[in-house]
Amino acid sequence: MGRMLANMDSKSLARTRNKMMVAARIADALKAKGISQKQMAAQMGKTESEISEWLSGDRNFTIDTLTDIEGFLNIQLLDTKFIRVYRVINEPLKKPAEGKCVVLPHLCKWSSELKIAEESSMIMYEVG
Amino acid sequence: MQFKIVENESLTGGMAHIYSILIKDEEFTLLEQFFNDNEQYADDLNTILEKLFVMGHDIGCRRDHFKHEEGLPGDGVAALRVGNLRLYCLYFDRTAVIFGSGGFKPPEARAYQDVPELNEKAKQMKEIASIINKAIIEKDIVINDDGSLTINNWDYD
Repeated sequence: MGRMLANMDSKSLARTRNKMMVAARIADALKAKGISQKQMAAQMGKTESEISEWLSGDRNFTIDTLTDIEGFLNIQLLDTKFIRVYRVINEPLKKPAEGKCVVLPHLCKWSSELKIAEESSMIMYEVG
Repeated sequence: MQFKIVENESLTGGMAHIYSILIKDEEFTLLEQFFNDNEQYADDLNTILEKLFVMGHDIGCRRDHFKHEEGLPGDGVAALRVGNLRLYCLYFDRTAVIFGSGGFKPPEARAYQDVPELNEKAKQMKEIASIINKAIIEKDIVINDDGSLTINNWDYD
């Protein structure tokens, strides 16, 4: 056992940790909202044993399942709210203030003659 | 049965204390024996070890990680299930679990009682749980809020 502890694979450990962490977040959300495993099963069209497996920390969730759970519990399990976007444009942009989201006034078209803008070409968009 | 409760310093961390049982005159704790006896299930053993490490260091021993009611009603005996391996324990709360031994449960077995070797390990854990629970009631063992144990004048230590 000591040898196994010394040789623990860090990637495998990280996978196990993440599975357990996600399960814990789901369990905490259920408790906070006063929803039983039985109720979650009924409302999501799953069996109780499947919900129990979700909470055990063993499940390797698909993105689809995590998305469904997010929607049911109104929690965030996948961090996809912000996507960093880089654009090459043919006119300079005003650099947005720190932390602000901006929408370009018109679409920028790709061209082989495009030059990189002198100002920052990095704009953060809020998705959805 | 005479034994002492031994903390596994490698698995214990900021979130939980992981203990096992050292039977008198034996070299290895029951948890170590479980790993020694089930070497052929290396993948599942690795997963169990990782789970224990994460419990101790990151997340605590949450109830959902275990299958409860594996012993007598209310005795706290639970099982950690990974693949077809079953590791029996005495579950107190998120901060403290005492692990015993366990073994392989064939897929076709309906319950551990149907597997003699596994039944023996579960029976051992139930006996240990009974002794420890009695000691807790009589305040010979105190489980502190952080999961550490204070062992007073206890015959079995």
